[in-house]
Amino acid sequence: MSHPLPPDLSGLLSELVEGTIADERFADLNARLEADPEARRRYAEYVELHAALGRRWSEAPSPIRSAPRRGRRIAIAAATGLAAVVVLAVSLRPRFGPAPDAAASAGGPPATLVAAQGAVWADPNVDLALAAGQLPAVGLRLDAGTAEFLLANGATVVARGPAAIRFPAGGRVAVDLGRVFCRCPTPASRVIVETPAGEVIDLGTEFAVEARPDRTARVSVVSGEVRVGSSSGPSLRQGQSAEVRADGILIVRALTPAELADLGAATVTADQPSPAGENRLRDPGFDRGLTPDTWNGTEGHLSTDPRGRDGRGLRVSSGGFASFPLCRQRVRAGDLGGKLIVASVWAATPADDPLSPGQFAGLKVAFLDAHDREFGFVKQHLLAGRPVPDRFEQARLAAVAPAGTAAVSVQLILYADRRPAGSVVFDDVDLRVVNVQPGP
Amino acid sequence: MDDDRSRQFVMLFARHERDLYRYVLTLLPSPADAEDVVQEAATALWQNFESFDPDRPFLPWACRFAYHQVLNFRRRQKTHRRLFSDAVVEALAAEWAGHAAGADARREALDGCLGKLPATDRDLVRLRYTSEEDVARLAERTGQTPNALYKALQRIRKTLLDCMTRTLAQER
Repeated sequence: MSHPLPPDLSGLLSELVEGTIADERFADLNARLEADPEARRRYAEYVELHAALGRRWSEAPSPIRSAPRRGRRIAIAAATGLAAVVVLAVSLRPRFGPAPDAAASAGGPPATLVAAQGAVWADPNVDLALAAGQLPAVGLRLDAGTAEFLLANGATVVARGPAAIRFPAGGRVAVDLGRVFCRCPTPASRVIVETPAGEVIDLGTEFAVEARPDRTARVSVVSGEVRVGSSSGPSLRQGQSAEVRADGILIVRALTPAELADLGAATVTADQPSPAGENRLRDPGFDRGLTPDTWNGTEGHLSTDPRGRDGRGLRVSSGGFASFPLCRQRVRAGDLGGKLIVASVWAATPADDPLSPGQFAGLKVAFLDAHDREFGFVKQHLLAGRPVPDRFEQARLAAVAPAGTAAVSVQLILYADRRPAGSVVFDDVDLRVVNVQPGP
Repeated sequence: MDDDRSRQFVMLFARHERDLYRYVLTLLPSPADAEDVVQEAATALWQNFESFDPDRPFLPWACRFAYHQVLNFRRRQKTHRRLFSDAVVEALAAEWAGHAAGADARREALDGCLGKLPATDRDLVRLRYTSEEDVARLAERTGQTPNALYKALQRIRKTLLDCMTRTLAQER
């Protein structure tokens, strides 16, 4: 290191790390690195700086909250059984949260932001903290867009702006203003929603709560049942909506089809038929196994399994030392921006290598730009808690692809938590692209 | 693998993982790709740890495995990704050990140089490296065009590297 970085090389390297470098510029850079040892040295410094900046703040103490954060955490646990079970939980991707059980037991944040679409937060500091995987102790004000949180118990809360919400404790979300949608997939993932008009207690369901400035609220139950006010309060069942205020329920009525539809993509459930359109995935049932043109991913952790849901499936195994082995397929279908992406997959944990607490599976759809760089994602977890071996569950998600989406990457993930064992068998993956724009 | 050996692996891996990541990132400059490969390398290291000689340094041993994982990754991705030529990757890998020797000094220099940045530049680089938003969204939020934001980030990174160069030259 003795001379300033040449400006032309600085430009090439900046474009490289930002993912904006054009083909001919990349060829120029490659030729320069091939010919010039000094350029290679400067390249190595530049990439190192880029990585150091990326990790610098993710490892620094939070100015907002001192709770343990996601990111690099190392936990070495004592062992039981034949050999030491060594758990090295190193989360390499900052957007991946810890397993629900792990988060709860480690005193982690009661909720983690797992997806956002057009989210605009009133406080940019909060924005930064959420992006870095933290949950500020203060309330969250979402001015616009939607934000999906995964609670430590496995429940999902989707807030739609404008909204003011808090997560006061495990399994609780306080909605001071605005609308949230809650999905509580297992008995362990119950949610209590606090509003100025009273509490809404989930009894195993999907429901929406809208808190208004006049301290009234509307509760809409999409499936299952909730109680309003207290554990002995009146209950609302599937398809019912209630206007609520602090002194009781005012009106109970049936939800209209339009209202149900308005609950949006978050209400997509396993019972609904697939939307119109063809499945865009190649070999969605893994009949051809793993090939470069269809499915590929973390080497050494993927294999076909004859006990899929419908014939052959794909097995993703922990295999001893991986945090999130995954299988993926990239799909290009023209300009996807503004189109509705609906994805689903079936998954079961096999009886011969079942998941242990803290491990679970996930379906993720990553949005890629023209340079194949991921710039957004949505994901849905399944098989959390204690799944019954060999029983298939379905995960579905839906999202409108952000502007600039040139491709999507469908990813089937085992959150293995670097345990020595645990597998998931995936089958029947589906990806539909639905044009939601009105026709000409 | 017995308990002591397992603990030894975890300690060694934890101590050197950052360097291993840097090594892979040099050969595959996409952080997402590098993370995937480090994960695959970690599995290979764990499975082959019995062959590791504890009297020898861990990092060169680990880098050899990681290098093979990089080559595997390049073979798998060849038709889908833009990758450096084999000659560049070989040269970078061969020269990396010499480069890595100065990593601690560079890290310290970076701390000092970040402190010398104007507050607005420091805020901008922090925003870029903590936000998951793409540059277009960040530009919108900071009231700039995306091109202006790219240029500003390029300028700040160059400023930091040139500052580190001067700092390290003065220490010699």
